[in-house]
Amino acid sequence: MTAMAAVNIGAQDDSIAGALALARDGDVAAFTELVALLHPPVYRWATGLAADPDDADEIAQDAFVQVHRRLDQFRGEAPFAAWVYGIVRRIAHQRRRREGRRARIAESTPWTDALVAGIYTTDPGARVDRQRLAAYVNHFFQQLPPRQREIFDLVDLQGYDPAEAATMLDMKQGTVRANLFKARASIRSHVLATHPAWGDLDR
Amino acid sequence: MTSCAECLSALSTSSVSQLGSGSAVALHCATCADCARVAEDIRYAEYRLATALNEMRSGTDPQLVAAAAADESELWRRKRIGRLLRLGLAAAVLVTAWFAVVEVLPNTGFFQESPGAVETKTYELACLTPEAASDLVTPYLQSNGSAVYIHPNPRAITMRGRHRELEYAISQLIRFDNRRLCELPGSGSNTPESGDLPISSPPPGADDALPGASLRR
Repeated sequence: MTAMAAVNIGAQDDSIAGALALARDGDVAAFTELVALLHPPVYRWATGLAADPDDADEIAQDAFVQVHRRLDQFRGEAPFAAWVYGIVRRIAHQRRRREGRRARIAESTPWTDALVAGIYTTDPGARVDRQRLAAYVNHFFQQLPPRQREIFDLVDLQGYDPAEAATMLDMKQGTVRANLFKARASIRSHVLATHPAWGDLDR
Repeated sequence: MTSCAECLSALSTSSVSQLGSGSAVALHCATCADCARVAEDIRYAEYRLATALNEMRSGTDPQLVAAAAADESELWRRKRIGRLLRLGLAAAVLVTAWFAVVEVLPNTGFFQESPGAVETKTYELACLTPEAASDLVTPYLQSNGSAVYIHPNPRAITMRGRHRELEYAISQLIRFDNRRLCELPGSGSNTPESGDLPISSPPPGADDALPGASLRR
C-alpha cells in the first residue's frame, strides 16, 4: 500500500531529452513540451517545499522561468531531474527566506484541509478516525525541520532512492539517511504512542 | 523478532516498504494485535499523505506556464542587456572624462589662470642694462599675456605675468642686478640712483609702462 513514484520522471527521460535538445536551440514548441512533461513533478516537488497550494504554483512558475533562462547552463553532469529539482529547491528557499514563511508553514492549515478532503472509507467511524490520523501525520509532516521534511517527502512519499535524493539535494547519502530516520521517528512517534507498550519502552 | 519493543523500534525508523509480508515486523504483527494496528496506522497515514500530495494538481495550464516563463525570461534578458549597456556607457563616459581631464584640457590652457590674474611690476635696475635684464627675465614669463617693457631712462623694466612668474623673475634680477657686481671691473659701472631693490607696482594703465618704453615681447 504505497503511492510511490507517482511523479518520478525517469520513465520520460527520452521525451525530456529530445525536448530539451530542441528547447536549448530556442525552439518555443519544444520548451512548451518540456514544461508539459516537467510540470507535474515540478509542482509535486514544490508542494513539498511550499506553504500552501498557491505558493507551490508560484514556485513552479518561477522555476520554469529559471529553467528557460538557464537551459544553456545545463551540462548534463547530473540528471536533468536533479538539476531542475535544484532550481525548485533554491527558489522555494529564497521565497521562504524573503517572506519568513517558516512561521507560516507551522501555522498554515491549507495543506491539511486539502489532503484530508479526499479521504474515503465505507466505515463512517473508521473514516473519522483515519481522517484524524492523516491530518495528524500531515500536521507533524508540516512541522518537521525543512531538510527532514524534504528528504522524507522525496524518499518515503515520492519513492526516490536515497542515493537519487542525495544527488537531487547535493548531499551525502549518509546525511540523507540520518535525516530520513529522524523524520520517520518524529512523524511516527505520535502514531506509535497509541501502542499500549509504548510507555514501557526505554527511548 | 519476538517482542513488541523490537517491533516498535523497527516501526519507528523503517521504510513502509520494508514492513510488507515476510518481514520480521509482519511476522510479529501476525501474532500481536496492538503492533499490527500501529503498523497498519503508520502505513495508512503515510499512504494517504503520499497519495494526497501526489494527486495534487496545479490549476495552471502548462502551456500558459511555458509562455509566461518564456516571456519573463526574455524580459529578464532584455533588462540584463540594458544594464550591461548602461554600465558600458557609464564606463565610456568615465574614460572620456578622464581623457579630457588628463590629456586634452591641459593642452588647451583650460586649467591656466584667467587673464585677469596677470600682474604688472616695474623693476628699477641698479647696473644691468634694460636689454640684459629683459633677456634675463623673459624665459620666466611664459603665461598668456606676459610681456617685458624696457625703459632706457631711468633704467628699468616693466614685466607682465602671473604672480609666481614675476616673483621668480624679480628674484633673478635681485641676484644678478647687484650693486656689488656693478662695482666689479668690466661690470658696466652703472650707478643706481635709487635703492637696492626697488620693486613697485605700476600705476593704472601700466601696460604701456613708462613714457618711451618699448615692448620686448
